[in-house]
Amino acid sequence: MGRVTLRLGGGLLTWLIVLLALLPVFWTILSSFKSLRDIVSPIPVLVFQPTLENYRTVLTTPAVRDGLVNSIIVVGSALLIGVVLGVPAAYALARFVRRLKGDIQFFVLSLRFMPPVAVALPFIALWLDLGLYDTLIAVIVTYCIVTISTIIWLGVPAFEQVPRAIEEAAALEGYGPFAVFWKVALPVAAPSLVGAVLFTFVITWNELLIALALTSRNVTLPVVAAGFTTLGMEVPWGVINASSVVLALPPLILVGLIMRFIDRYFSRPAR
Amino acid sequence: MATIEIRDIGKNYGDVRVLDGLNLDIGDGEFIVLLGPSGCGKSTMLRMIAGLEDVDSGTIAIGSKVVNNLAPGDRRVAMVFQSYALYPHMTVFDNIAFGLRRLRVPKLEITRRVDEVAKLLAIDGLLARKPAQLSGGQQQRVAMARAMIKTPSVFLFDEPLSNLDAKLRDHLRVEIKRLHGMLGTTTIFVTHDQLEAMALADRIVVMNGGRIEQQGTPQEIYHAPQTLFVARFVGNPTINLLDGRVGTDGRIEYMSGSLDVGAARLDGLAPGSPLTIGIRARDLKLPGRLPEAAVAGRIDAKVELVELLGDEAQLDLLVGDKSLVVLVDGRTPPAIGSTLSLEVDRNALHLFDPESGRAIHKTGQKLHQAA
Amino acid sequence: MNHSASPGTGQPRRLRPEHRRFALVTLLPGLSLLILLSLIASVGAINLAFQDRMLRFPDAAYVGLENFERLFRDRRFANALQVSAIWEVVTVVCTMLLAVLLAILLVEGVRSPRVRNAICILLIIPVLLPRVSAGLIWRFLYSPTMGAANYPLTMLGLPPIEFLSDPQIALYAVALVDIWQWGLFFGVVLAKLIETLPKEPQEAARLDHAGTLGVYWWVALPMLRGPIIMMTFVKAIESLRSFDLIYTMTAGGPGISTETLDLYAFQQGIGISGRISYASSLSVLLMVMTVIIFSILWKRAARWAA
Repeated sequence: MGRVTLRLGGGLLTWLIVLLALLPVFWTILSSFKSLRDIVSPIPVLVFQPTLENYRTVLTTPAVRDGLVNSIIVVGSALLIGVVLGVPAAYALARFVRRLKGDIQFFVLSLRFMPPVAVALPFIALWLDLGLYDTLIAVIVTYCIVTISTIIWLGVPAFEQVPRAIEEAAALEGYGPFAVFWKVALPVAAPSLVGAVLFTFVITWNELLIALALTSRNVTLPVVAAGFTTLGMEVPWGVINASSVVLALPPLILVGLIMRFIDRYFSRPAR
Repeated sequence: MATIEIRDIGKNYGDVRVLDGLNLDIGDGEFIVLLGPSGCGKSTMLRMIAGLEDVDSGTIAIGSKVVNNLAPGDRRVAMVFQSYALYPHMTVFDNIAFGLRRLRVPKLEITRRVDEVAKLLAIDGLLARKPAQLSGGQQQRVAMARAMIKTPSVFLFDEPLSNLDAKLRDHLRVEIKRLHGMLGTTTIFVTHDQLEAMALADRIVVMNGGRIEQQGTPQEIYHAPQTLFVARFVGNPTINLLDGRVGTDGRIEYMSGSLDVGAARLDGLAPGSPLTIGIRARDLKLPGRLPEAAVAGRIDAKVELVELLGDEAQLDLLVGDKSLVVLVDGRTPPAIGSTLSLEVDRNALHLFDPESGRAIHKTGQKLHQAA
Repeated sequence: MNHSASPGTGQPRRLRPEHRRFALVTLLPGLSLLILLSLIASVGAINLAFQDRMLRFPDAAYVGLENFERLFRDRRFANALQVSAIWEVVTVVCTMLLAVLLAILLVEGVRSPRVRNAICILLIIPVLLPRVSAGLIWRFLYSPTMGAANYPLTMLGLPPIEFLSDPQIALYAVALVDIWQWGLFFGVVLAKLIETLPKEPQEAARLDHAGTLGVYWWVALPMLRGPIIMMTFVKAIESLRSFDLIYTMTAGGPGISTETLDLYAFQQGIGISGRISYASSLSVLLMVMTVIIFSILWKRAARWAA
């Protein structure tokens, strides 16, 4: 009977956790539609006249619009470079590198150990000396450390899952290694690779420190949003909530897709 | 030691009724085999007895105590799984000792009992190893040791041999039989392998579609199948089935001839009513191998294929467009293409009502005893 | 994670020339860019650390170990070290505890796979939030005057808690946000992993007198030892990236009570002071520490997990 109690109690507790876990997000979204008067009320206001004013303010602020454009350019370019250089490299690692495979994988992973601030400081100096400080190119190149290494790291297992036999069958048909990669391995591994790309997208889209360090005017969206809190004396909470939502929207739209890749990655029998 | 009484148990998975009001009594010390195709509900039944599945309706009693609401650990049952289900992260010793440790049995006693059981199963040299370092047969021995050490009142085996290769399977089967003889613990053994069932069981319970088709000793199940399903499921090669009709004077007509089975056997059946005739491959004999009185009739058939199996040869024969399988002495099998006049053993004929699938038995002939 | 070398198909066989060429062509550009950039980062940082460069002036001179000597006398550095250590321990331990508890609750408490999947989707939302968004969301919640976190207190007539301006609490209040993001996510991952475990050993344990929680403690969780160690390792690395969250929520305050190493390095090197060389010496220390510790841990973890 203990099992039944645990089940009922567990069910209730789970829902409670879900509720508590989502309350902050829900509250922020709700508040982003409130006027300042409803927000600062000491008693929580659940029924209110919704307003789009906060979003209008956020989206008409030039800094936000520039930040959005910069974010899209920076993340898009770094991601593209990461995919173009990382995916074939991951395939080669998965298939044709033997002795050095472990070392290369460890090197790629060890880039993840590097404290971002330790990356940011020397690059500030470098870009200043090259006259590229505060340019998008500087941020893009620096972000490539993250995108290439993450895509290689997650891409190797994606390619290792491709059954070797179908590649060998294609090779017997007279396909060279490039054709095998392009026409066989890539399409088969694609679903898992999309997961790797999504993950990399979320990491770079959310990145703050390096962008903050390498730019002063050409900033990305996280930098803009983080900057809102330091504006003046009166904290514009409605605008902050709205900008949190706008910033969080791209990763959140992908939540269903990302869940599918978590399933794919972890629902295989554990080794 | 315990008896088991199962009353009207039912089980649904969603809309699917996997067990449909089943009744079964198992005597103390009995070795019961639940036999049936996959999906017949035999494993579900075993798991319900173990407490791993909830009982939707009915009761299960072990040692005349209803256990429906008892946790698996409190039922005094031990189970051996098809996949062995060893704890992969523990040594063999820890695997076997796990249950005793949960019961807080003193350390010294645990060591003593593990050693004892390990010796009995000849795994005493493996106690320090992890399951991954063992062969399949060794793993299954460990699983049996883990079950035995608890001195349960009931042993449950869920297809414990099906992951092993044929040789090991035979070997462990003998071992299980030996252990049962030694311990005398009530045992329920689930399998889809009829050979295993025949070799092990005191009583076989044949299940199909969530119901019991027939229960009885291995001899009864083999020689007196009460349904078409049992006749077809048990026996290798599969029983030969011919469509026929009730004729006159105790004869049955089938497509190319007739068989004399005696009027008593067909008593109460209207002439012309359809029948299914079942004849096992060994009960069709080459000419001259049966006393004339036992011959119910002859079937002329053409040899299509001869497969040597060792002592025996399996013949695939054609009668009209119907194929028959016959086992004959392997030393002098007939040539392919030759025509045989096979003699049908009257006492080994099985008759079924094709409508209901039930056997047609008449008093006095109900149980044909094996020669 | 522990990807063993390719099985079967002629392992020791030499690579064919066209495969060697393919590997060279595909690996060289990406890897050389990575190596170049990581060399810039590490060599550049070390080089800066031995200079006296300021952000405002392009010139600099080598000053030997002066920055490091100053660092060891710097009490703010000592403070940052301590704050970082607390942050690391609290976030890693609590994340894993929450993950384990949540995973068991999800598997035991939610029977329908459909509902469970829906809950899982909801529970990974926090980890996907940009740290800036997460920080802002919780700053709003923690607000003493209008924050939802204080409503229950003020409703009972109690004084509100100054979550982010009380130096005793601020670090833990921020850590809670990190645990909220990662603990829920890892809980979902762990629940998925538990689902993939073979059921029989757990059933055997139930027959062996283990209770529901006992089954997890003795069997299911030990069977997932490898992935759990890996997750702890990943979390330990991610916890080093405390900057975004702390910067958004407290910027190291009140005072320096939430100033971690990377935040301090940032404040020194990029913030108002712009003492980039001094900050570099700090970040070099940080880098050496983490790369050494985590390289050792990684090899260990791989062995434990096996």
